[in-house]
Amino acid sequence: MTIGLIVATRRGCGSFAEGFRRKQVVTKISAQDHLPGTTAAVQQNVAKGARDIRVDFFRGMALIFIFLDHIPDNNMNWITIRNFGFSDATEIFVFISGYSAAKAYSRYLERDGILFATARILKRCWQLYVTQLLLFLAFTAQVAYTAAHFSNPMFSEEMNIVNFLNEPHVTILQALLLRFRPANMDILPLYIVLLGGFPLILWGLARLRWMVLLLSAVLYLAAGALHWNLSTWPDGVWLFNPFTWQFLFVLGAACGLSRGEFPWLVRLQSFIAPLAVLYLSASCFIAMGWRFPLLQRWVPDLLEALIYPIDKTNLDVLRLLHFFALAFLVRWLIPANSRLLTWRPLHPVEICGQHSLEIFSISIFLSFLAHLWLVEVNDSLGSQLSVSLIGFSVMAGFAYYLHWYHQAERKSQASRAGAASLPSGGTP
Amino acid sequence: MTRRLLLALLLAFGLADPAVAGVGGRSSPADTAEACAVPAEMVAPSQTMPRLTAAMATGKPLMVGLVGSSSSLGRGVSSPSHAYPVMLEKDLQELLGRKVTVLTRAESGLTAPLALARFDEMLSQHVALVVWETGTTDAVSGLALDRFGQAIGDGVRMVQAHGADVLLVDIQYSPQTAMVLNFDPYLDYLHREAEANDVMVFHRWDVMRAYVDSGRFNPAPDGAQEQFRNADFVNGCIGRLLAGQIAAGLKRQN
Repeated sequence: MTIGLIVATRRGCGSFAEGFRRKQVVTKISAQDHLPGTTAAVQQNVAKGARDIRVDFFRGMALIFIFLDHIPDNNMNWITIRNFGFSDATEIFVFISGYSAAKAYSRYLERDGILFATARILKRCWQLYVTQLLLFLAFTAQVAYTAAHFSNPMFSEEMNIVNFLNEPHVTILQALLLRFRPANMDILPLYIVLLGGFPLILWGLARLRWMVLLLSAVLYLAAGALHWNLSTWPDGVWLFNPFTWQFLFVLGAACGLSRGEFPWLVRLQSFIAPLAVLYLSASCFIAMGWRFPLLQRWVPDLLEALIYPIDKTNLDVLRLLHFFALAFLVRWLIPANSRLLTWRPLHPVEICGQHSLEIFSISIFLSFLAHLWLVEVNDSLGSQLSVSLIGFSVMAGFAYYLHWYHQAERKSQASRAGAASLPSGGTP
Repeated sequence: MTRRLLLALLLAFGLADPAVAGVGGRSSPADTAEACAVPAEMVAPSQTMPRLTAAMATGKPLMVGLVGSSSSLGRGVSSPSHAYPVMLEKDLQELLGRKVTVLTRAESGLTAPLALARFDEMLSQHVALVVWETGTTDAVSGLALDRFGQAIGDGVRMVQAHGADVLLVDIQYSPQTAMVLNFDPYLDYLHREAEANDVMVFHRWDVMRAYVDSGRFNPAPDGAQEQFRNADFVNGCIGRLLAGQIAAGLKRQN
């Protein structure tokens, strides 16, 4: 096991070092080729207060947590946030997705109008949809493989899951309609629906911000109380109810539009901070009790009767409060210019957060492969550490690749635009 | 491969330590108890069982109801007498020194809401305890989580109102099925509902996982012989540990 650990650490370090080198190369290229443009853009951003590293950083963090949480037999997912309180990485991901979607698409809305902004958003939706179908394909392959190689009658009940292979004409249609989604395939459909409605939300937020927030809150409360949810096939409802989770997404979008500045929040800081600390500590204690029954005895029965069940499907108000408290304290304790955020070893996290859709998709595949490895080959602690580190390295490596590719593409477009403005004989 | 063997050996030694043995074999050979042993806290009685205690005090034979899905039918065992409900009856009789009858009503596809309809018949037989194996079918059919939780809460309260205690048996584990099904939310809900209603849980998932991790149980066996041996072992251990947990729960009461 020790050997495994050392190998894993080495592998991990290798990939990290590679990541750094790549980053330096990328920085060099951009510094040489875009120096004037980049500086101007940075200055402009600083002046507008537009780029907040924290957004990318914490989204990157949420993506890593989601990756780890999706590998069930992995002790490394002990470090993720869900073990220390009511909310988990999903809240962070949905909120920041709303935040950055508002920032990105409001620029198109201002510059090119609602029609083009809508087209941009729908293009993104389409990418998400295709990714979801690819994931379904991978899952189907996995189930077909399991059905062919695993035939223990002890698990006959569980293996009813393969029944969907018997009627592909229904199953594939339901998968295309996003109504059939097996293990760990629930976040993307939520994201697709939220983005699908986003043109309307964005347009509304730009004009009647408080009105939209109020409507969103009413929908959240009504859907929770009246059990409005979309149905799945063959039975059940969406694991993440879009009618309730939209509230967090819309809140994120509203924050994104107000550029993260809340004077009233700053004024109430000294009042909210102790409450937030108290709430986080209490929920941390309760969450610890889920793992250590010894602690659970100290949680009063009356409190338990009051708080359970903490409903993830409908974004329980306790989860929402937990996220608010967390976000408030993090925003307060880690300012945008914090040196922690620009600390070199954490740079891959930020880069992952900058390319969230692609990194999220690849992380689902990776967690799938990691789980497969742990089940089929080796599930030792060293193996768990290795698959976690390798998975993160691949995510970071892919993020750096995308970073490089986007810059190269922009450069190529810029030079093509330059060439096009010159008089030329013909087009290729 | 060597590393895995080493880990299995370490675990086997760690678990063979009598200090962590879950139950003591009173009348069975000590090696069976050792083979079934799991860390003590995994099968510790988390709640008291007042209604069962009261039934014990009457001195009459005990009636225990058992509701569940395929695994409670003993699918995969070499003969029906090796299914865990049968083993439970035998082991409980030995541990309590009392005539015990386990009334089993198990069928494939019995989700928690469907199980509610089975309780009426069971309660008319004056059972003092209902062992309810649930969660698996619900996860397979993708039943809405709140409906699942609601059914468990309703079922528990219904049984308790008729003067019987409930013991929930959670989902069975294999890495292969955990690969294609997402059981986690159902396990969480089941445990939360149990906690909220002060009901004891038999952590079958954790127990079977400990067997898989320590190499005592291979869910993907080579051939029918190993498969029978596996299923008999797991069912025997579940019956034994379950009986031990119930007996310990009664002791905690006194």
